[in-house]
Amino acid sequence: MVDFMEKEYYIIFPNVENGLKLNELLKDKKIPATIVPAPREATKCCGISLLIKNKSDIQLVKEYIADNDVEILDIFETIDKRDPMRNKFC
Amino acid sequence: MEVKSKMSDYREMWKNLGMNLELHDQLCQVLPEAFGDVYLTQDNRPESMDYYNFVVSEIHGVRPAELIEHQKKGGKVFGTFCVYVPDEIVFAADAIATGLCGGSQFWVSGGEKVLPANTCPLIKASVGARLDRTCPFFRIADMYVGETTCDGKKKAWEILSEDVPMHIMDIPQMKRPKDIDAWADEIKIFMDKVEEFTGNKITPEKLSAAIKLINDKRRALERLYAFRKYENLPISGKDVLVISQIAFYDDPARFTLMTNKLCDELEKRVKNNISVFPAGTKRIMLTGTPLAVPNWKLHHIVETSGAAVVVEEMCTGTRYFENLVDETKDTIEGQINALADRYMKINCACFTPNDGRIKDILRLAKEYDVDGIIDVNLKFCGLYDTEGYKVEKAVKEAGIPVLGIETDYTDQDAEQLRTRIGAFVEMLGNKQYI
Repeated sequence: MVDFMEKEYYIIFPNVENGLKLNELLKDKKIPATIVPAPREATKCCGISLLIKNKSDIQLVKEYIADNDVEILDIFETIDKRDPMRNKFC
Repeated sequence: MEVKSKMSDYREMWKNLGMNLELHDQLCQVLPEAFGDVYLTQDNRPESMDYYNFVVSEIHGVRPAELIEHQKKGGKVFGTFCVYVPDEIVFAADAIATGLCGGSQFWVSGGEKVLPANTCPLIKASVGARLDRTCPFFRIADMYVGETTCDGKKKAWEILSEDVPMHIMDIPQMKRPKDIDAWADEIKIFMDKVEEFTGNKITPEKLSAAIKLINDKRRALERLYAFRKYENLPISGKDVLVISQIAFYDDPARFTLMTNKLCDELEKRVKNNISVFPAGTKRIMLTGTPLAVPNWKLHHIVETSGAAVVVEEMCTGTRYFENLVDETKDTIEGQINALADRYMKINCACFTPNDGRIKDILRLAKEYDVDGIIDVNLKFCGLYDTEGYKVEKAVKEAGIPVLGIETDYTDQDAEQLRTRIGAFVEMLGNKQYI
C-alpha cells in the first residue's frame, strides 16, 4: 500500500537543540521542512520532529545531517494519513 | 529563537513534578494526530508558523522546563485563569505569569469527580488537569491567581486551594467609577501579595518595564489581527487562534519577537495579494466564551465549511490585547490606576450592564468586514448564554446574520455543528448592513 501512495518523512531527534539546528540548516538550503509534533508511531516522546514531504529531498537531508553532526534518533517513513475533515478533537 | 531547554524526553521532568505519567501519555498520544489533521492540512501556511508549530509540539516540554529553571534561581511562577489578572504585576516582581491547562475534553472527567456535571467544561478541565496531575503548568505554579468572574470558578477555587496557595481577585460586577476604584484596590492588594510571596519589591521602574513588556505583546497581537482586515487573508483563523492561545504561556518578549517576525512575512504576503482562502470566502466573527488550547473545534469546522474566521471577540481574541496600559505614569499609584483603567475596559459578560461588548461586536464587524457572526458559548456558561439574547438581537438589528451555538469539548456534536455551520455559511449573501 505504502509504495503506491505519497511517502513523507519525519526526522526524530534526541533533543530540541538538534531539531532546531537541522531546521535552520534546511531553511538556509531552501529545503522545505516543517516543525511538527513527533508522530506516536515514531516515538513515545512528546516533542518536535521535522516533516519532509518531498521524497527527492531526503537523500540531501541525510547528507546535511551527517556533514553537520546533527544527532537524530530516526528517519520515520510513512504516508500522509491526515484527515482535513476531522471531527474528533483532543 | 532562543530556547533554554535541551530535552526532548521530558518524562523525568514530569516524574519529578509528580505527574501521572500513564494518564498524561494518553494526551501525548492524541495531540500529534489532531494537530496534523487540523493544522497541517492547510495550504500555503506562512513559513513563520514554524515557531508556533514548535511551541505546540513542545507544549508540555520547553516552556515548563524554562519555568523550572526560573524556580531553581529562586523565581516564582503564578498560574492564572483569566484575562483580568494583570500579568504586569507578576513580571514586575521578577516572577512569571503563565496560563494553565483547560481546553481539552481529556481533563473534563477529572473535574467531574469533584464538580457538578453541569459546570462549564473550561472549569471542569482546569480542576481535572490539576487533580489528575496531567498538566505540568498546574504542577509548576507556586501560586494560582483566581478571580470572581463566575460562580463556578468561585467554588472551584475553594477546591483548588486545598492543594495549592491561591490568591483571589474580587472583580467588580459593574463599571461605575467606584467599581474602577475598587479594581485599583484589588490590584494593589494583589501587588502586596506578589511582593510578599516573591520577596521582591515592585518599584515604579520595574512596573513601568513590565507594563511596556505586556503592552508590546498586545501591540504584536494587534498588528497580527490587522492583517485579517484585508480582503485577501494572508493567514487563516485557525493559525491566529493557536497564536492567541500560545500568548498565554510563552515568554512574553520571545512571543512578541516571533509574532512581529510573522507579521513581517504577512506584510509581504499582503503586498503580493496572497490569500490562504479562495476569493469570495465568507468572513466570520466568533464571539463568546474563551477557546483555551487545544480547543480548535469551532475554527476547524468553520474553516472546512467554506468560510474563514477573521476575528474573535473573545478572551482568546480581541479582549486579550485591545486597549493599552498608559505608559506615561511614573508612580505606583498612577500605574495601578492606569492598569485598573485598561483592565476595566475588557467587556466580560460578568458585568451588568455589558453594553460595551455589543458596541465592540458591532465595531469589529465593520473593521473586519464580516459576513456573519457565530455566538459560541461553552455549555453551562450561564452568563454568556444569557447575554447571547442581547448580543444576537443587536447584531440582527444591524443586519448581520448570526448563529447561536452552545457546545463543549466533546466530539458528539461535531457532525451536527458541521451541518448547521455549513447551512449558515451557505445562506450568507451580500452584506446588507452599513
